[in-house]
Amino acid sequence: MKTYILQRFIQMIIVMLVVMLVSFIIVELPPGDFLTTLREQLTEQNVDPKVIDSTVEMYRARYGLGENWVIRFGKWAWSLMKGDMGYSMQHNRPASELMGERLSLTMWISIATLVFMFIVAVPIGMLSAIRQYSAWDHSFTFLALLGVSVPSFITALVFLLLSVTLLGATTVAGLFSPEYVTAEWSWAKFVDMLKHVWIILFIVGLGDTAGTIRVMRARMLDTLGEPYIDTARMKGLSSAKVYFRHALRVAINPIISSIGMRFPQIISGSTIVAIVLTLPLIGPLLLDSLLGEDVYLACSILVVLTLALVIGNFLADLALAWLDPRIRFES
Amino acid sequence: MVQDAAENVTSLETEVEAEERFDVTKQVSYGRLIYLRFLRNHAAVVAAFALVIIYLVTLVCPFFAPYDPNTRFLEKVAHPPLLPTFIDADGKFHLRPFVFATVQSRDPKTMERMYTKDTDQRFPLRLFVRGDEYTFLFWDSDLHLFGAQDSPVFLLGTDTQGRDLFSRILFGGRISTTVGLIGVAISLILGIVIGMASGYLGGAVDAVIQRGIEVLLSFPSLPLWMALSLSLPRHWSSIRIFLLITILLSIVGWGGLARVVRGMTLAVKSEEFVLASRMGGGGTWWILIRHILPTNLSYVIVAATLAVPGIILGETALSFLGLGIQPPMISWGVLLQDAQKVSFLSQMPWLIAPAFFIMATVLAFNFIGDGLRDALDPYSNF
Amino acid sequence: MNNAPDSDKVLDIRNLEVSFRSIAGTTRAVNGVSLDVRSGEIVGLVGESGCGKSVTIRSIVGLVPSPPARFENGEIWLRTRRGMTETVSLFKDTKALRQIRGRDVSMIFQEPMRSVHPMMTIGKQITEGILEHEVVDPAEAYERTIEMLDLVGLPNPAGQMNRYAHELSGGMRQRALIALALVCHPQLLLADEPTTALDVTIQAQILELIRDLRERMSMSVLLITHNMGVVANLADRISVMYLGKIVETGTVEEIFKEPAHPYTQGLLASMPSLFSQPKTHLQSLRGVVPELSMVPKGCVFADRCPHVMPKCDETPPVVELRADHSTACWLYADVEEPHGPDAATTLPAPSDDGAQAESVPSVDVIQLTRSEPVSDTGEAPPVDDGSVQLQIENVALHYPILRGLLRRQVGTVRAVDGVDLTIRRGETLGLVGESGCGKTSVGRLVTRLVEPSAGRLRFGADGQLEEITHISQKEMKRVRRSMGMVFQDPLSSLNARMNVRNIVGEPLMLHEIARGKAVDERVGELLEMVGLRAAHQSRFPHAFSGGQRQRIAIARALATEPSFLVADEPVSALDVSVQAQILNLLLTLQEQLSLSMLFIAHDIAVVRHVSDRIAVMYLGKIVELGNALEICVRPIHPYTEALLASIPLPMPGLETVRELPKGDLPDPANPPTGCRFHTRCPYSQPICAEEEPVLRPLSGAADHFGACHFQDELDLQGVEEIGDLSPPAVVNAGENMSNTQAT
Repeated sequence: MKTYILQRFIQMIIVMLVVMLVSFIIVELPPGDFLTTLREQLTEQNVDPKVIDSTVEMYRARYGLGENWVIRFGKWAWSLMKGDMGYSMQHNRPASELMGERLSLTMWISIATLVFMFIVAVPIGMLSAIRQYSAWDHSFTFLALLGVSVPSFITALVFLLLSVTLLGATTVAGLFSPEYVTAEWSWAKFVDMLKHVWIILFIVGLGDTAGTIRVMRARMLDTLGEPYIDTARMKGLSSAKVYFRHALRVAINPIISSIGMRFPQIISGSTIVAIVLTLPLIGPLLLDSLLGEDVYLACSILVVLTLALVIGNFLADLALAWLDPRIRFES
Repeated sequence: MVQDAAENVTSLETEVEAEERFDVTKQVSYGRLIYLRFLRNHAAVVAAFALVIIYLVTLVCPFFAPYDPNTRFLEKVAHPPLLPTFIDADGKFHLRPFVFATVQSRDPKTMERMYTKDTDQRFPLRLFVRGDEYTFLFWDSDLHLFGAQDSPVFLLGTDTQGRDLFSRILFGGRISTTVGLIGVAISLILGIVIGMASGYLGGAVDAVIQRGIEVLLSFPSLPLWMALSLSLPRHWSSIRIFLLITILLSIVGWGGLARVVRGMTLAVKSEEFVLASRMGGGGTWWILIRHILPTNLSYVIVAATLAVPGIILGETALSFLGLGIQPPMISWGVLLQDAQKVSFLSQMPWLIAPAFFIMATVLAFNFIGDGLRDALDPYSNF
Repeated sequence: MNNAPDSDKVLDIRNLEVSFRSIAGTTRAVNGVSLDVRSGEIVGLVGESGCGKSVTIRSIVGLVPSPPARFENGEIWLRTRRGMTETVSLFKDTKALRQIRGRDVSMIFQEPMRSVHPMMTIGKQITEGILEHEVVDPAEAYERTIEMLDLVGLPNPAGQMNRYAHELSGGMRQRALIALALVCHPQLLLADEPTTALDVTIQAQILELIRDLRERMSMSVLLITHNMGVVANLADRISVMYLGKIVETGTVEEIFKEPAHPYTQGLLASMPSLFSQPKTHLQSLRGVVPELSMVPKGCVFADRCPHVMPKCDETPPVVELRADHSTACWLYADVEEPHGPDAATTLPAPSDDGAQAESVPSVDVIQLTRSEPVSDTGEAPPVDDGSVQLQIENVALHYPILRGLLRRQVGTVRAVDGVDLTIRRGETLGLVGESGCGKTSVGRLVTRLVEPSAGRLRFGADGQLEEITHISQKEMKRVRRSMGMVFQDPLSSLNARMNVRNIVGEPLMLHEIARGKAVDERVGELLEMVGLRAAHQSRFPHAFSGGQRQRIAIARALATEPSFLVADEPVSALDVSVQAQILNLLLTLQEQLSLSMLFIAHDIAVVRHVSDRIAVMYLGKIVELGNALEICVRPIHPYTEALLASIPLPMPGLETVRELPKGDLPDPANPPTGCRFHTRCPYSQPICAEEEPVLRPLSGAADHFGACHFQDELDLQGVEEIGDLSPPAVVNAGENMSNTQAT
């Protein structure tokens, strides 16, 4: 078990390094020199030329600009690990300040979506398998296929359309009621968010919930065909015990291991949904930075999102090892 | 000894005859067996037909669309959909469908445009009418499938600049659906080559490729695409941007396919028929091309079918965000940009129409992929 | 319950009919089966795959999912703690059924590897059953579970409680499953092919355990199997099933001594036993078990029956031959008719009927026309002139075990560990051993489908021996032209995407022997040679049955006219009756084409039947090598003795006094020190654990080798002392044998 954890941990670190390298290459891809762009931008903003010179010099030193790419990558990665997300030229502020709350909200929404997906998909998929070919099964099989086919930004658009035409809304439904948008965090603000958040979870999670229903149904069907289910039935156990105690714990494994695959999709989904519904998440900031060619900010966002995912995958692996003795003992 | 052999063969002969009595289905090839199984899945067959129609119509869109996508009807800006009917204001039935004329006015309070039907004026629809000129595969024409004389027909309304949305959707579909096919083709080539190499060669090659795919798949695809789109030079021609976007989408998409191919290759590699082929003198290339590729191909086709929606949606999402296809080129994502603004959407809800075309296409691909997968399932009975 | 059977019966199935509905139509899997099991009795239900045995036994406890199954007719009476209960009527009442399952009747299944829950400890799985049925506190249930694990012979029972399925071997899992089934002391144990997935020595242990537990727990057993040998020494009574019908029922003595139904006779005759004349044709049932949807009308066996007569179009009556022996066959319907009882005692042998063979004059034995210059093997009969086909010296195959991120090598699996073998021209060398002993690896090493880690391979295509250990793949391609290989699984050894012409013709095209039309012709010849039709070459593999596919595989192996054939378990995936057909075909072809053969199998009876010499393998080493008959009569290695003792022989009343090998096969990655068999050997001495014995000739017998420290002292038992028992079926084809026998 310990070697397994260690193994996965080392693997995670390697993946993280590669992710950072890839992101770095992406930053380097666009044409144009960062410092020139920075200087132009600061000049446009009528900043004191001395300040401009010192700022540019600071960045030249910090990121090793002008040196070869290995050193540049090293410096960039090192400052990133220290928590320095870089500097936003567009906003003229450090990136970490801009990301702050948006990042944590994005993570929380994504995790909540994951939980929502589990709570909805597992029972539905399980019941579909148990009552195979029933009306329940047929309707959810169809709905799941439909759900898989609708991308979250279209769900968001349809939701927007419905709230505009049916409810006559003039502004977009956000995470909070208008009076709380700028308010400090408080219990009341949290409660207010809960009132709004479920619809967002639904929009973001629809596709993945549908996908998980399909996987759960297939896995459950496979598991119910296994001989050890016959063994359990032959003990005289009730159907509920056979399904929950014996079948579910095996059938749910692939769902847990698929978190690694679902989580990136949920992040993708929440990014674009946040843009459509103008939610205070990381998505609009990313779009903003991209449209404004704010390279370092965009890249930092990409890296942070991906690293969060990699860590999430690592945790999912641990959960799986804890649940499944076959993995636990495979030293 | 000879007699023994003869007896042996005799009993076989009867066996063979006994078999022949009931092997109507047994002469068919594996491919045909799958085809027959696929036909049993009605939803998938309907989806296949729908998809053929979608691709046909979007491919020959200049003919099927009543107007050029850039033709502006300045008198009919933000016109709501006007569906052809058969029954006129007096309740009289006409065999040929027609549209009413509309008159623009403004709401006295909000100053919003309003269109009212003029039920006195009917414009019957006609097939094969002359209209905007176009060039389709070096062939100049002005023939359109349908239209009405003396009056425009807006099946799905017009946009803020008075362009016919239906025509624009067909033209946009040409880009969106093509991106899906080309993107999957690129992913497929990458996936098959890399996946087969990974599975057949094994060892260090396999380990490196697998870790690489793991890294690739651990990126959230949309933010990655968005970041990559930064590298697109803005001043490039739209066709080059289009190609680059397609390549970009498939670069992110091949990982999943490569995994499928690798898994299949590994499974097939240990099959006894591969060993038998080696015994018969087959070399690595012979086995890859004659045995492993055909055996994988059907599963790969399923995976590819199910991968097309991902790429279509990727393009749509990127263009929707303004990071993909750039106007004046049109794609479904570009068309949906207008629907993003709440103020537009509340006045012109029909702007969301491209979304339904996207959904129909994606749904069709998913249904077909599902049907193919079921048909390939060796445990499904026939 | 006026209908209830007398209390002596634990189980009484009356006229059970079960059908399955699918898109293809309705098929009747069980078609009027009546069967009973009395107190303390072991009843065997025997039949080939697809005959409805499993559906019958699963119906008893309602484990057949309905739909798609439909119970058309019949009753199943079961003695429960509440008296006789009819269970078919309970299928809708799951609660009543649940109370019966595990408490009054229990079941063990075919695949022990997959029948234990992978994520629950053994202890938890067993105590769960107790707690379900009885009001006991968990501590007591825990104690009882340990007792039960002890009873089924699991070592260190308390320690097993916290182990998971993947930590146990197949044999241990089946023991645990038996414990699980019996922990509530049911009166009836249903066993669905409980030993099919296990190795022979383990199979013998499990059968012994079932016999022992029947006494100790005074229960009844209904055991289904396809292997007549399994029930011969275990069952009291036997029912033989074919295509959903019971064709014969009787005491075990009656069935084996005087089998009445032609199907029973055929099943018994087609099994190669340790007493049959080697290298003779086994008498085989013709044809294959048809699909259920194609069941003939009237007698279901009619189209394969050698005694078929017009009357067989009608359903045969069940005839009581004796008090405890009945059969459903027209042969016995009218006892006055002279041929009936005669046929019951003398086995019909179609080969005696020369007219039958001649009646199909269109079928000739196809003589292979060699396109090459005739080799010396073709000209001269393969006498012992010293010419050698294949020689391997000290060949080894080691796999590294790689662990961790850096793929460090943490150990080595010695799949094959220093093997020397010589195969002479025209000779068949049999290689026998249990799973994981490395026999398949040897087959792949000699053809270099896997590369040897050490040692030397030499092969003589048609002349001098040539070193092939390190030659290039291109060179190897030339050598392989003289080699053919037949694989175990007829399903996976043919590419489903290719038609038969391309499968069989592939070597012809690759070696540029034939092209275009010539391929068609040659493939046609080859197909007819193996008993198929030339016209079949446009078909795809899925159109053929398992036996026919194996024929196609043989045709492919012989396409390049090889002089040497490797047959890797060619019959183990086939039904008994088809197995005999394939063995006969291999024997015929070998003689016609003067093939040398390496015949690999786990069943020593099959190997003995086709081989001139036998090599016995255990954990990567040859432990005994010698003349086939000699080895079976006078084994010199205790492992060979164990293998012989473990073979279930179709001979009731044959009480073997020999000791069965203890325990499980050790892990090949971590084999025991010294003699690898010493952990299981009943004759083990201290030296066995320390010093590894070498393969050396037995004193006084230059051609009999053994690898046992005590081979000159031990007096081991083969099958000789029971050799005078007349074998159940030997087809007289004496002139066939022995001139090819080497040494």
